Amino acid sequence: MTIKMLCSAALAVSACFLLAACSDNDNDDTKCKGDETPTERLFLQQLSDTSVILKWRGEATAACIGTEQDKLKIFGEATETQSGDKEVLFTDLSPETAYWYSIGAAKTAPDDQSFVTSPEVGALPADGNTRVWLIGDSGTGGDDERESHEGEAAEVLAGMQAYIAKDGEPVDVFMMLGDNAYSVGSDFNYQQAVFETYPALLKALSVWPTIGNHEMGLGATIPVAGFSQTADPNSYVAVSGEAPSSMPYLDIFTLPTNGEAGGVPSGTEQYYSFDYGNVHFVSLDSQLTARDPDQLAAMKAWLIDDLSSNDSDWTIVIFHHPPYSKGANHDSDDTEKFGGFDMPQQWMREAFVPVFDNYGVDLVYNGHSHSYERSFYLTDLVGKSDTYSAARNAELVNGDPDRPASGRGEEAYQQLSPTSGGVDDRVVYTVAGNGGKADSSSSITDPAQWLRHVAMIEQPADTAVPKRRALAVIGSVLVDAGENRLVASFIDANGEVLDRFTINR
Amino acid sequence: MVGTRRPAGGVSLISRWALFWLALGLAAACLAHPGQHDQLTQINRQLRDAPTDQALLIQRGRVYSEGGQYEEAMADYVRARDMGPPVLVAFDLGVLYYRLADYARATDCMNRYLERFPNYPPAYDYLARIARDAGDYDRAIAYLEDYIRLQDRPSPGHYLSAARMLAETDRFTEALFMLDQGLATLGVIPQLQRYAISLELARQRPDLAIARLETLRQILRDSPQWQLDMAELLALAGRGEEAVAVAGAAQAGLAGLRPTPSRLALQQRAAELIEGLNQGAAMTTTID
Repeated sequence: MTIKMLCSAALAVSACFLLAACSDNDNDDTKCKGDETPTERLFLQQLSDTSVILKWRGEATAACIGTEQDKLKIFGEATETQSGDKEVLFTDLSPETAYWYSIGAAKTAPDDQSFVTSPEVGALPADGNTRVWLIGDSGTGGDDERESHEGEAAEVLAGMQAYIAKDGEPVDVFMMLGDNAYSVGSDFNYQQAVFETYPALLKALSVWPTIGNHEMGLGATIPVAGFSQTADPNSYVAVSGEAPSSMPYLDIFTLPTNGEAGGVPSGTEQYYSFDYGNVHFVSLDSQLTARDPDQLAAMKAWLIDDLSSNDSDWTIVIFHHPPYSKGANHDSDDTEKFGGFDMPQQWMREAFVPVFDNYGVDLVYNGHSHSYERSFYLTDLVGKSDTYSAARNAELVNGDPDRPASGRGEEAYQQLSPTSGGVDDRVVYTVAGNGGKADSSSSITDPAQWLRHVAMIEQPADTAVPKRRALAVIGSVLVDAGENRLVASFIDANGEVLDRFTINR
Repeated sequence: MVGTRRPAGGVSLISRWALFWLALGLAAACLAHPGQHDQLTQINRQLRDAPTDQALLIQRGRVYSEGGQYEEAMADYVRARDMGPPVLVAFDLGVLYYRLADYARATDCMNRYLERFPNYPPAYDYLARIARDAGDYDRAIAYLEDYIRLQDRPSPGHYLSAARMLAETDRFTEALFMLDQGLATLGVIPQLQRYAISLELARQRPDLAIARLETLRQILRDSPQWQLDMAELLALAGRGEEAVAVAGAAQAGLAGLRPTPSRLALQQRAAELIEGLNQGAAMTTTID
């Protein structure tokens, strides 16, 4: 988190402030004569059309990049973060261009260390499609969940890879929907559940996360993992009785605060936005910011400005707590249980759904519930599930109030909703908190309602009878955003598509 | 490797800004603290096994205090003081005294807590509230600055919260100072600058509001929303011709964008502003 690249020439203070160490890349290729150095973790941050941050844990103190694998030319000296990690910001890169890199500043990059910069903001990628991979509650790949969910996060990754091996379209954007590292979001949890679970992806793509309840360790009143109800990132507690400290998430990641990768500056790493070609992305904070009224108001005001300034083809928003869900432990109609630790589900719905409707958001992705639930093409649903009406809230087939459109096949959605008279005022909400485990039975939610939120679409691939409005299997989501069509697919651990919908524009 | 790319309306303008922030504040204030019963049940169960556990007594006192059951909270805190180091109860007791409007005792408790834990930001937050409520604004500002200084990563909400506290008592200059500190620390961000604009308008200083909005032009990409906001400020400053031109630019920009409810509302605002200005009604405009 130490690099804060506030290098926008137009701002009054011309260079960098906060804790920043500005990029000081050097094109003197004679400096790229070190040795490739092993790392414990290595990942990209804030990859944009002109810049990238290389971040690692290890002995190396510099890195080199270049467009030719054996002729790295651009040298960068690392700065050290609070937790001792190293990072280098490289700027003045070319859009949609392949770069190789060496940690340790060697002249030649290893075969597995390269990335491609984003297309220019607003431009389509050369292949005409932006592919996004989203995983939620994926953090089971470490010791804390080994006994109950060993290998499941890796299976989800393998399922996605099996799918894209068939169509040959690589992933461009990697997003994590919170609860990224069970059980308490510690640095050790992250090492196992993230850095040792997705090492190849993390070397090639920038990961864009959001904060889940398990990122904040234990609750204060209820000293159980995931039960924290504080809005203060400095009150993180991993072990009961220990003194509070700052949450590891904010040290591990270096997220944009000043629009470094597009979007409007947020001034905080807890929520941010960025652009990738023709898609605008927003990561909101439903775990901390949502719990403080002033901070929630500030996040909402920022989001309105961010979306008002955005004219991308598509807009995707992520945060952890789903506004609509009938997951096994997280019922969006019953948020007051256990001291209200699920209240963010209600607060986010009430505060932000109207913003999503009014400002052109297309898709919202959440985690928290360990299942897959995908909504109709909704508008104006700010109440509990008993306020849902297909006629009022869903896109309709030929205006028939008894036929909410599924988004599948001939019922594909139009971004300019015919039901709304040709206005872009609808959003598909997806819960995909099954990237590392899937609940096989209801534990807190009324079993009769489990996986049956009425605003969610019935899933033909469900094996229960009668079929439910969700899938209780592990998997992940791929979104393909082209110029005129967006296709979102749920991919299971076998690489099979179990749900798919389309939005045309 | 598979999976990644490989190389190859009818409200005045001042009211509109003020109402926007007021609405946000009210919405925020309406968020309640649910689930008190669950929490008490759980803590009571634990206290049955450990009735002299100081931390549990403090936890239960906190639940009572937040639920407005001050007598029960006081009873727990008083007991907790005898079950361990009294200083560990001081912060929560101070919060309770603050809620009971006993500012002298509240201040004493917070100061005692800070003697032991000098870098505890929430104690400064409460000292600032106490000072504000007692009418000592200079001291309130000093405590707020301490509070923000102690944050590892101050967030926009911290500055907004502090500025709002000051603005509530018409301390606009101090509130703007706090916001400007935030802007200097966090960079030019709309959350803080827009609130500052609303305060400038509350002080009838549209020219300064315009200057502040100008700082957002680039980061908001000269968007139709920004243009229309600027047009309304220009109108308010009596610069009608410029306002019409900027509102016209907003209209032109909106025409090229896909319609969303917010953009449709902007189009209506722009049309009404231009019409109003052409009719000489520069100081009010219809907004959504």
